[in-house]
Amino acid sequence: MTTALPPSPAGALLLAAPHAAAPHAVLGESTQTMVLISFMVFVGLALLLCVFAGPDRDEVADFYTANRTLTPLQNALALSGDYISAATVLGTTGIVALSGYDGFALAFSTVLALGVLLLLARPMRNAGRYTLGDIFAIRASGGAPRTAAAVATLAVSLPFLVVQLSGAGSATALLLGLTSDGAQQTCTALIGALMVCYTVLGGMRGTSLVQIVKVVLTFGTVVAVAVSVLHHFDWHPGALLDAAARGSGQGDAYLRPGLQLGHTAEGRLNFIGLQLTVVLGAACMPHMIMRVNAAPDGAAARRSTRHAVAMVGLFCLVVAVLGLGAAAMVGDRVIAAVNPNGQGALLLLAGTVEGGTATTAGGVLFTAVACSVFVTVLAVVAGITLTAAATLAHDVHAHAVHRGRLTQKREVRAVRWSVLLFGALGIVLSMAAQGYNVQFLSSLAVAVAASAVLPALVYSLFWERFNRTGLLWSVYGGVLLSVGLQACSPTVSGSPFALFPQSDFAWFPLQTPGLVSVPAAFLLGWAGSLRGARRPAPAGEPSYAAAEARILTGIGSE
Amino acid sequence: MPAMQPPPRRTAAGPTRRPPRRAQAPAPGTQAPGLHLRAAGLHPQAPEPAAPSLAPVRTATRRLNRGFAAVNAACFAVTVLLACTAEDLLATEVAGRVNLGMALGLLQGALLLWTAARFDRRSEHLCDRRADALRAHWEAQAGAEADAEARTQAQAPSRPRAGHGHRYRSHGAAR
Repeated sequence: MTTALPPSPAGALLLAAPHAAAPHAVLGESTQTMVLISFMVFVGLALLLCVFAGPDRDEVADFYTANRTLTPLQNALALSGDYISAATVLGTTGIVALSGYDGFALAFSTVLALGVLLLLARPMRNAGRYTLGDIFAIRASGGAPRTAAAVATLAVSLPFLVVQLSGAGSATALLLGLTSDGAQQTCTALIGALMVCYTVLGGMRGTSLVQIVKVVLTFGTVVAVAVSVLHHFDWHPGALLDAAARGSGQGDAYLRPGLQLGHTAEGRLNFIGLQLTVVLGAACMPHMIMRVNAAPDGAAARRSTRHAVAMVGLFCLVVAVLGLGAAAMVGDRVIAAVNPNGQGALLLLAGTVEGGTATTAGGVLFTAVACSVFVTVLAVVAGITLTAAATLAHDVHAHAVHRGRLTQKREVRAVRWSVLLFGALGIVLSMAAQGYNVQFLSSLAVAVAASAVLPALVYSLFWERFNRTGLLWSVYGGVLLSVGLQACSPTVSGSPFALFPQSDFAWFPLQTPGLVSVPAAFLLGWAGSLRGARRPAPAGEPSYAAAEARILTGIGSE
Repeated sequence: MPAMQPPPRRTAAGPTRRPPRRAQAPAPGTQAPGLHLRAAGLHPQAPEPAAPSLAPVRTATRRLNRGFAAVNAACFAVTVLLACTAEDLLATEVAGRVNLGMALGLLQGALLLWTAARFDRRSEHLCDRRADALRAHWEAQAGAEADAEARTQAQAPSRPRAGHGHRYRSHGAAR
């Protein structure tokens, strides 16, 4: 059964929809006031954190990596915070609520993606310094690889930022009882402005602290709701599953594969493509790479990632319980009516447990969930903005343009201006996206990460014959293929849930391009390296022996 | 950062035929590479080699990476393929309302956590210590070379040097 869902499962996966609706109809005025006050308190606390923890000197290492002073556990919390976006909290809960087994599969893929990061963490940290461009630079010198890294970073970060910001603006406006487009755009702009402030003032240290607070708060909140759900069913999983299957309206089909994407050949290919894209791309997004590079050394980076695997695994298990609880206690009709992707499921559930928002306990729980979602979005967009600004300032401005001859003070100044520039662009695009279904942007971001970032990373770290040509072919090929195929997919045109539902230029049948673009990018990297090997290497090109020694031992890395 | 002297590629890590020496007390956090080889069981008869080599780190890293990736990728592939081709099988209830598909998902999650913990522990044991020893060796070597160069320069007639200003060098020594 696929009719109830729009064709953007991956979009639902990573991000809050522009229509991510809160159940404002069920909120009383007192609850709305409590939510507003809580939002203000969190905004103020986060700003204070950023001001007091932010870098006090104009040093690039301090701004980009907090001087690598975070312990593995702190870094793991921050890594989990970067990884747990609104999509994991809202999107996965919604897909579990509406699609049962397919939602479980998605939650598992989300955790497994961190397994890919675990493999890459140590060599990536040993090889890298701050950005993706630093990792590419150990295999190919000059400005071209850094420019390619910047293109890939922006191609991932910008769509991801837009979809998060626009979704956050809508959800915040609805939580506060505001429904007009103008109000939603205002909320988007305000959240964007906060994001810029956090990033400019706090740098990596400030955003890390906000991430850590966010993870603790979100974890505590979802566990509290899950405990309430399980208590409601007398701690009997069978009763919960039974009630969820009944509430979903699908009966036994709810716990079988295929509910989300159908049983046709195309549906199965979509399922495989989605799983593959998530596993290969979700953890290789540039803001995750920058977070790994904030670890003191390779071993600490791997240890942080291992802790993050456990944290996110537990989190996704709890999210699956919440999805089942939403299906059981709220029902699929209400969930799908609020948002066809089910992204209102968590808030609807929070407004239902413990007697609803009319009771004190229910009101507090709802407010805590709303604050968790708000802080989640704020923290993630700040991390994305920091990464995009870092690549603009470090890879493009400091290296591609000034060839590494920029003083630290000037680079820190450049990164702050880049935050403003990228933030402003994101805010404008997010405001323009209000009213459109832009959920496909999140699947696009993951697909670009899987197609343009992962192949180049894997080849850079593990393949001796990889060279500049292979790097450029795989990065630019991956970006072009994933963006081009996504643009020609049913998520952009040719379906009622597309970005342009009135147009139809969708000749690519799959909703996620990863099934084609990821293997193609690997192939391009291989073919480009073979072609590049025919030409003599440019003067000053780093040798593989030096690169391998650095990747394996960390010698020469900071 | 001292200049790095990369080791020769594909250095054979084979056992040398010298009689085993009594190992000196390792520096804090490091051990002589030969001890690691023996401890890891990679070269059980290997005495301590004359100079540390990158090959054991490379071999151990590859083996651990491949093991972790193969186990999890195989389970992932099996589950995805079963979900696409054997829906009825996955719908078989194995414990109450919990069906085979859900049980497989939980098992995979548990497997991922276990293999991740094992990967980290074994990497620390087999790779990190060897890598630390190698890095310490190369850095000591580079430091000695730098000292020798400084002594040579000190003996040469001095000449005024232009000031550098506050420049920030973006690449590490390896780049």
